Amino acid sequence: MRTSALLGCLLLLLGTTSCNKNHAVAPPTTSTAPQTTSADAPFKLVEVAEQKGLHFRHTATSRSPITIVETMGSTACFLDYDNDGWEDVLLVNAGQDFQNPKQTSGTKLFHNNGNGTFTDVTAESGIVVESFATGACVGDYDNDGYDDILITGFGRNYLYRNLGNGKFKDVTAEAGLQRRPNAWGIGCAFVDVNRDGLLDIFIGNYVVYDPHMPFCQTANVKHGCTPNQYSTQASELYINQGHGKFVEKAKELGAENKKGASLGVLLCDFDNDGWVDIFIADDGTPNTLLHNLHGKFEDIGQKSGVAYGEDGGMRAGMGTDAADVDGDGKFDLTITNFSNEVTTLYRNLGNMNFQEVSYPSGIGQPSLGKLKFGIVFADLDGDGLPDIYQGNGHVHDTIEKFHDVDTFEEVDQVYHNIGNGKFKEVLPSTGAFPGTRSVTRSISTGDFNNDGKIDILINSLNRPVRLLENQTPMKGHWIGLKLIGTKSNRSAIGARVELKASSGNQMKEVRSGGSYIGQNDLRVLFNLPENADTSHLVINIRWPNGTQQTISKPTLDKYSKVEEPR
Amino acid sequence: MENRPTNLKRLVVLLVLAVVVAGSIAGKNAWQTKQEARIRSMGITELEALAKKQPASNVLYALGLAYAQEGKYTLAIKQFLAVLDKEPTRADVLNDLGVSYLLESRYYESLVALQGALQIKPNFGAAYANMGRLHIATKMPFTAVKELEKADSLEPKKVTTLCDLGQAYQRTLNYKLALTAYQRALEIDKQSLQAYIGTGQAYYAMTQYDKAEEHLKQALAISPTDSNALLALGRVQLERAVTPTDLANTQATLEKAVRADQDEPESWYMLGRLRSRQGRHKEALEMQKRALRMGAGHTGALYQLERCLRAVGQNTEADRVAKIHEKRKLHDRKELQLEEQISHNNDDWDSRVELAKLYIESGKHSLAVLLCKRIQEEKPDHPQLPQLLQLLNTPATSPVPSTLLTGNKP
Repeated sequence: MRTSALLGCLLLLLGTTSCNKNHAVAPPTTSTAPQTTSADAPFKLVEVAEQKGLHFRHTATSRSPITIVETMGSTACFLDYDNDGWEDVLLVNAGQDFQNPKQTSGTKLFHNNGNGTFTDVTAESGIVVESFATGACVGDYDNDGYDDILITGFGRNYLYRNLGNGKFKDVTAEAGLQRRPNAWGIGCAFVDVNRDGLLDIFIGNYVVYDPHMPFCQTANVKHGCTPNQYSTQASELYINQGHGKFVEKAKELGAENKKGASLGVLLCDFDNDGWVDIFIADDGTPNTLLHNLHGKFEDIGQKSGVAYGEDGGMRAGMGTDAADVDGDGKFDLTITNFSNEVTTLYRNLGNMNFQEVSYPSGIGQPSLGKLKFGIVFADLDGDGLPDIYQGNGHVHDTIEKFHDVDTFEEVDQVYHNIGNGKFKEVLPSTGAFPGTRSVTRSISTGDFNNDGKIDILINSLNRPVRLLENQTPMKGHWIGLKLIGTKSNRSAIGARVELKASSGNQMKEVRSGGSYIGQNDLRVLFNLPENADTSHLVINIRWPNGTQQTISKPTLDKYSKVEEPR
Repeated sequence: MENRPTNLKRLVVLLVLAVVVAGSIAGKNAWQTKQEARIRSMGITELEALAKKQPASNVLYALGLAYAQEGKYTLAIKQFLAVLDKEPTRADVLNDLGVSYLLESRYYESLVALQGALQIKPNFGAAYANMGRLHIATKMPFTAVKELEKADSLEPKKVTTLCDLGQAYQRTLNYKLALTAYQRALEIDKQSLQAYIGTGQAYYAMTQYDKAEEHLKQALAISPTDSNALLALGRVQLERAVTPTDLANTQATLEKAVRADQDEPESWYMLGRLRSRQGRHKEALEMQKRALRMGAGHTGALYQLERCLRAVGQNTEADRVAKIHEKRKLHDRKELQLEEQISHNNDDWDSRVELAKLYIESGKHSLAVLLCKRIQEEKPDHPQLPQLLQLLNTPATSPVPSTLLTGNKP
């Protein structure tokens, strides 16, 4: 049996242990190995954040050891807030000291200049986040054609209404997002749970932090406690009443997840019944799968087989994503976990029944040695199969003082989908991606330069933002779709898009939230393998309210707007 | 699951023999040595008869050691206590008494005996090593490391001490140190089965599966039917298995493990998991039931039982098992929480009481006793102590209803 990283030195018998040493703060550093691409690299991701104008460094604290609040990191989001067809970037910051109710806002909004470079527009945007912020998600809750932003965090959440003129307004209070006392929101998503065409808001709350227990210790080394030391918090589900008002109904609708320490929140219609389900990666408690039964929910995590690991243990669920990894027309589920726990891959067998295939898929063993947070499925090499980018970094900044293998900073991992649901780890030494040692938390995907290749945006704890531009020389065509709801919610969140192609069918959904506190580009991107026959391509869209639409001969190699039939 | 020191059984025999040899040689004259040798060569029946006629300390001690060698620890304890009645300052006997208690999972008594041995003989390496083993069993691996390091410094080059030190290092997440300890053991004894298994397990924990397999196979070259080595190898193989051939190889290993120790629930559980991977759910179901009949506290088997029941369409039973499993896991979470709290606050008696209750509920009786004794000694006026002691004496019930575990022989 593997040894958990949480090793309390018990005092069952005799003796005492002492909390000592306030460890010196190590300056945050990242180091990037020289990058040369070898023939083994199926793709090429190149770090370009600074070069493209994303000047941002996350801050959470300058102390050491860091507490559970400080170690959770913050999000990096793609969104097109001004509808110019170019993905902008929101980079959320935590703050200086979570114990203070107000932080100096460090959250930044970057406008895409229309050529893949960015300009900091925070000052004129009206976004001022004074809480110790963590997650964010995007969706047009008032259907005015402009995507709004929800920012979660320790202390309070913010709902920012996009006014459509480049400015945002804090409408948290007037919208009725009254939080439970001591709530600590992490993952979130805009989701139309009842298919009334209005986006509701789901917020996964983590644990009740106890200031009397900031640190735990292992072998006389202090470190932040794991969530096991704190009581869990119920999630919140705010139902959109229209006219900008929400009412919290998590308990009434069966979406409370009271026993879960919620982190990653993922929307996915796993049973393809047209009603979006909600999966929650819970940290140290059983994962939750809220099955949407026409607007009400039932937690079927255990019944469906996704609540626990194969050994029946509660893993430290962090990030999560879903994609059809084996081309069987069903969304499979992945979850990141603690070090010495695998990155879980559950194969969707249908009828809300899942089977863990972490080891046989090839991602189990390589993932064991890392502590994993953000995770995204992304077709990095344009072959039509979803690969995996996984962000790593330990939760304890003092880990190296009591663990002779694990490290605080870690290198991210990438798994190449080699077909039939199998993956092969691609090492940074191949030049496929930078071997940056960091403490990765949030990962989001988007196509920031509209070249039809998916890029990766990463926010790491106390470190500079990273934007990995996909520079893979793809020779195949691509199809990019921006869905606009008319009867459904305008962001089309919850829409399912299928590409029928002789080279292989593909399936995507428009999702708010996801990964670990991530927000991907809301557009849908399909890549086709080189020499794929493009003469008989068909796109089937199932809009969030159930309307079906078929598009024959979709436009290739550019993004197209698709409006829901009225 | 409570950590019973089953892997210490062979070790203790070596230890007690070492102690008795050392004790008998020192300061004895030739006649005495001859007499001791004659007693040591006697079987249990002879010793029992002799003890009735002539209950001298050396006879009772020899009888105790003979019982211990046969795994009859309760009887061994009785003899050791009888010796100590006559000679209360015998450190060697106290050490053997401590080991016997440890192997009976009577942790508190073991602690007292070993502390006694060390008070009498402060540089008693074997007693330090046993204290370390006790602390591994009682979830105090950091303390165990210190004690085993001390034992190693007092009596260097003892393979068993080094192997247990390796185990303690692993439990404190110091895998590289563990490998060093096992390497030292192998330098002393190139055929040390325990050192090869330990090395394999350390590499497994470090996810270096090639090296893990290599060392576990070396262990099996020394002892082809060793159940621990087979099980450890099967675990590695199952995690690496991708193709049907991989699964078939894993199956062969796990079936050997099951044959080597039919009463080991972990082997049946692992074999059941393999069967599930092969899609043979009915067989898997029977194997998980069997694992649970042998070890009702095996939460992995409980979870797999639930998955198997669903796979064969027995959803009502699966729901029942799921509820038991969920309750157990949330119970485990609470235990962890309290253990951590206690480690922070030595005076948190309420948490100790609560933790003792949870230990009783989850069948960790020995750990519960240990906590209760501590509370009795240091906080005798705690208002919940009487209720706790009453709970301690209530017979435990199986957490899994037997109706869920009946089935065919796999």
